[in-house]
Amino acid sequence: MKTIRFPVHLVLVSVVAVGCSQEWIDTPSNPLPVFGIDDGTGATGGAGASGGTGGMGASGGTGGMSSSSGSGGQNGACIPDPGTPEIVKVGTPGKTVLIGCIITPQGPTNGSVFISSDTIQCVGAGCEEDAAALDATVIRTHGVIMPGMIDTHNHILFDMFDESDWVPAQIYENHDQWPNEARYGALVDAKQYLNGELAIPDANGMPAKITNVRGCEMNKYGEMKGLVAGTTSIVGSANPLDKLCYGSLARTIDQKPNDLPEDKVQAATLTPSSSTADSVCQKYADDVTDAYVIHRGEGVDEYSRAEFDKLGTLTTEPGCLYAKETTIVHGTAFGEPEFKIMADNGMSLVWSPKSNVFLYGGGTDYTKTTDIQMVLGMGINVALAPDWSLGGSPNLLAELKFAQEVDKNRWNGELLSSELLVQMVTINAAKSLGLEGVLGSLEVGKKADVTVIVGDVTSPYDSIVGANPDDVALVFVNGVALYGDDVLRDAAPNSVPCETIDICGISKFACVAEAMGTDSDKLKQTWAEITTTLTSELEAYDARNMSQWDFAPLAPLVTCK
Amino acid sequence: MKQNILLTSLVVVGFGCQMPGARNGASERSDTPVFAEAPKDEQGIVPKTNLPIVGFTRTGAVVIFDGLTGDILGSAEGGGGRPSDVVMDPWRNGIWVFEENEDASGGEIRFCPLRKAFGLENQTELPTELQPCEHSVWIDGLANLLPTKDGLWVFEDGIGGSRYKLIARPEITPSVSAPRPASLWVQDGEIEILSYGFQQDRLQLFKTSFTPMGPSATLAFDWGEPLGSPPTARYAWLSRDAGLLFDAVSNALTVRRVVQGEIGLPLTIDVGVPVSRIESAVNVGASTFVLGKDALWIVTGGPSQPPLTGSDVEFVAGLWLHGDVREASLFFSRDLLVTPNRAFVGTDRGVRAVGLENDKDAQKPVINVFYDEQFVGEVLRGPLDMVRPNGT
Repeated sequence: MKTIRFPVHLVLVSVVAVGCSQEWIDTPSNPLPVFGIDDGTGATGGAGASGGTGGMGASGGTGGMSSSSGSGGQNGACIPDPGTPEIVKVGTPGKTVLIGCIITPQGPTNGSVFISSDTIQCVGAGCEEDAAALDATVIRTHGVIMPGMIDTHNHILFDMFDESDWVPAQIYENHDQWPNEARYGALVDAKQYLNGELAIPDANGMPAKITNVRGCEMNKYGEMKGLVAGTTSIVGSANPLDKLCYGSLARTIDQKPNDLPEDKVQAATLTPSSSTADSVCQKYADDVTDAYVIHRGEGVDEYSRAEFDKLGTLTTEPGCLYAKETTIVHGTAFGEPEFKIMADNGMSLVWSPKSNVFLYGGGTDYTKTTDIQMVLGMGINVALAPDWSLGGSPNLLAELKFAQEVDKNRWNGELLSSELLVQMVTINAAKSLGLEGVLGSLEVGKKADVTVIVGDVTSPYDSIVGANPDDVALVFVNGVALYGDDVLRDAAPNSVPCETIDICGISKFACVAEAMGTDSDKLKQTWAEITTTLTSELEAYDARNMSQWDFAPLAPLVTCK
Repeated sequence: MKQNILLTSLVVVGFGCQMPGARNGASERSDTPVFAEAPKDEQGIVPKTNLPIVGFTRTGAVVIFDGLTGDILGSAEGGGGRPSDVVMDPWRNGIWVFEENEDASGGEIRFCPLRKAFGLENQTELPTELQPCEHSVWIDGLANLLPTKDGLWVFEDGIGGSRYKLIARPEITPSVSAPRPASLWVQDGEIEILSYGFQQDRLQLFKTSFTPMGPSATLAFDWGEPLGSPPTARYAWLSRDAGLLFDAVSNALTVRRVVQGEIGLPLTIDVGVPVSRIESAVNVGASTFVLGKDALWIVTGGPSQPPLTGSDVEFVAGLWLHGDVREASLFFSRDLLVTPNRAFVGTDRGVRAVGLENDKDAQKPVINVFYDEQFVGEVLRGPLDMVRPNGT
């Protein structure tokens, strides 16, 4: 039985998008009530997209609004729907309908998203009318429903640190300089101590089995930092590649436990050997690798720039890594010649401005990051990512704001629209990983990685870019609500023991432990256990006095505004 | 039947007198062997050999094989990654391996214990029974290994930068920032390292030491920019204070003699073929073995030659390897292993055994170099190291 109740003072759009397929169609009437208040603010334009996509504009003073087929644009808005997220109906586990301002590939539109199991089954208007959705849990978000954000560049095992642990003592020119600082070295030792990269022998002198390795906890800490900010996938570059404990929170998208049928993402920090590079090219040819995400050109000098040339010459078949599967992380030192090759070959770029400016610009010189204006001008696909918490951003929401800050200071705020920035952490990010057919947008058939942000739906992209972690109301990973406002706790699976955590004064639920977890896979660990363990291990490391610096406590999960 | 496949005519080489033990890209001079008593319950489990070598198979299994025949004497399951380094640890009586993950973004160090397998009647024989390898540590990057009495040196490079650390010791100690070793030599417990510097723009000799506070690395000599780019220089130690510094410049092999830190002028050695890179250089007696991408060259130039001139360094012989050697890049390679009577080279088409033989009929010492057809190594792969007795 349908129990949704809608406000009666609604205005109606004449054309709406959609149904439960990827086809957007015109419909003569709107089966889905569209929430809006006639507040007399005037229309903001339709959100209709091409191909007959309908849309809706905000109401005008007369209370009416509509957008005809194909009208409007991708900068459109949703109709205001004041309120806070609420569960309208609790239904069958594994089925959820989210109602709100949907960020679709065609632009924002009021409507709904139906999730069943791990897949998006319906996007647009009237999804809750779908027969399969009638028994779903229905959540009226009053907010923005967007694809789960994808972090394409994060050294996740370092995310328990921040700038209180290390800041560069000087401004550097490339990435092989700052690791020589003693304090950074001590920090690396601390990370290695916790991650089991330092071994001691047993009583017989043989290498001991290390029982206090905290790599799982470290990885989950980094995943959680992303999750609470709406990130659902992370290229974390953690080792080993197949740890089962990685598979619990955000997707460790570059590892086997990524909840996808395959791991076709390779991530590398160092220059590969020729044989490794040749094997990557072969994997391109064999369709084993869809994305090779490699650091190149991190720095501002010729040494950094030349890394691009090396990428082209170290393979037996010259230039075979100049391919659409290759995604360059940083490219800070690149200029037109390098970007032209990237553009000509359909390569992607991952931009990490906060980290760049931190290491190479003294924290304030916004010119010491990649020339994104040139990159975009050449049509290169750009993703945005934080790099790490240590001088980068603690999460993608913070990195979005920093990118906007760079835009304001370097390009007078005229280069990077909020819409483009959001694309950099969703569909562009998915493309850079070769996963645009699976993740990165709200489309039928894609994996149900969905984030709900509370904010002004009349400017949804601005709301996303301006959001802080406390504005993240709900996060689904693979169709499971793992995190969200405490009032939405019933959206979480019953089988999972979820905890309550405080995010900037807002009570949230977080489902970290898994019901079927074991001691060996560590998937039954709670968030409290993870933080307690990491804290005590970090304190234990400090107690060894291996350096003059201490690294406890853990970097905070979020930084509040 | 031995097949002489020299690319050039053989030249007199002073080879064979007072040979040290096996040496490779990470050369080590051993002390007097000390043999531990063999377990009583291991009668004749494994065929004995006087030349046990540890390496890998083409499917990644860790193996000990007979250096005379190529027969596999013992094996342990591979870790699933790409074999990157292997080294015998006589102090802990086992084999350390480092295997890269498929992304080449990190890897795993494992330890494979050894025990003797020949019974009490052969207790001086070398241990060749390989036990299953066990996980030791993960590496967030790439690494080379070197066991010492103090522990296992790990030279790593990754997101933490290029660092040296010691593991497998009672206490955890801090690491030290230092550039990757491109060649390495150990004598009397002191480690000398040739590196290209942190930015691959210098040729630098570091000396390392270990204190209870951890390892240290001291820059001993800076020899300026590498002659070739990207750097592929390798250093062959002749003695503590002398060596030969090889480089590939414009597809030619060059050598510079080093004496007490001072470096001589480069001499081009015509080896008849282009030299794109050098993976390893190892001196044994008056001969130095230089490993290229797909060939092995042998040159003269021992410690008795005059200092600071490379004019005495001459090309002696070269062998096509009929396979490519794994590129060690900025790290040192263990794909060349030289023993007194033969050398082994790991290629992508198998391990080659190269016989070294003095020509007793010649008026002056002559070394014959030949592929040993008795050795069958197609299934074998590098890196390689020689199994050595306990405590050496």
